[in-house]
Amino acid sequence: MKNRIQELRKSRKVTQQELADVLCVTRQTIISLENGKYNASLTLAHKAAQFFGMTIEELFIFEGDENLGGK
Amino acid sequence: MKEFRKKYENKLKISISICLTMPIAFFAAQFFVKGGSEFSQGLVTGLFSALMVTTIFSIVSTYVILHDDEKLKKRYIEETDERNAEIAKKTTQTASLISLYLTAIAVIISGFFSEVVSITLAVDMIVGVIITVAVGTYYKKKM
Repeated sequence: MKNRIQELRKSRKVTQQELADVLCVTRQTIISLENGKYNASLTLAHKAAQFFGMTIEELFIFEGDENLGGK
Repeated sequence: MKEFRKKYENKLKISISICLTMPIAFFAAQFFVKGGSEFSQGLVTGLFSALMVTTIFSIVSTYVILHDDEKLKKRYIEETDERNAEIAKKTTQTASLISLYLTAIAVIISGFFSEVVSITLAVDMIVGVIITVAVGTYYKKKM
């Protein structure tokens, strides 16, 4: 699953540590999310979407098998 | 965060209770090992000293964290970070599986040298599997 966290964070001039503090996670979690090494839980995805003022679908890009009937 | 603070307040209370009851438990244990070997007396003293130091350390660190909001939040993030929890879960799963396979190999190899060691390892492996199945069943019903 890809996401737009890095792009949106940079456009809003927010540091990884600041975002981590707001979402109550470690900075390492933000780094892993941005690198696509870790998929956020529903709660964290919801918090991140709230922070950026958008929906989960707009923030996280679901591809292939992640969609219904996707290949 | 409120629940986390409460958890730490409870931890502090438990640590203080342990610290206060420790001398009584120590003297009771000393009474039981009185006249015993020097080794058992030393073991009891060492065990209680280590427990006492650990408990005092726990009291001090918990007290400091509870009186510093910044440190409390930092600890909260460290303990509740979902990536850390996921890593811990996967580490335990993988380590348990590797341990199980290694024990199975050890059971076979030790069977050639010592029946007692082989049976002990086999029992350890079987108990481990039973506990895993029981815990798995519990979580299947719970979730």
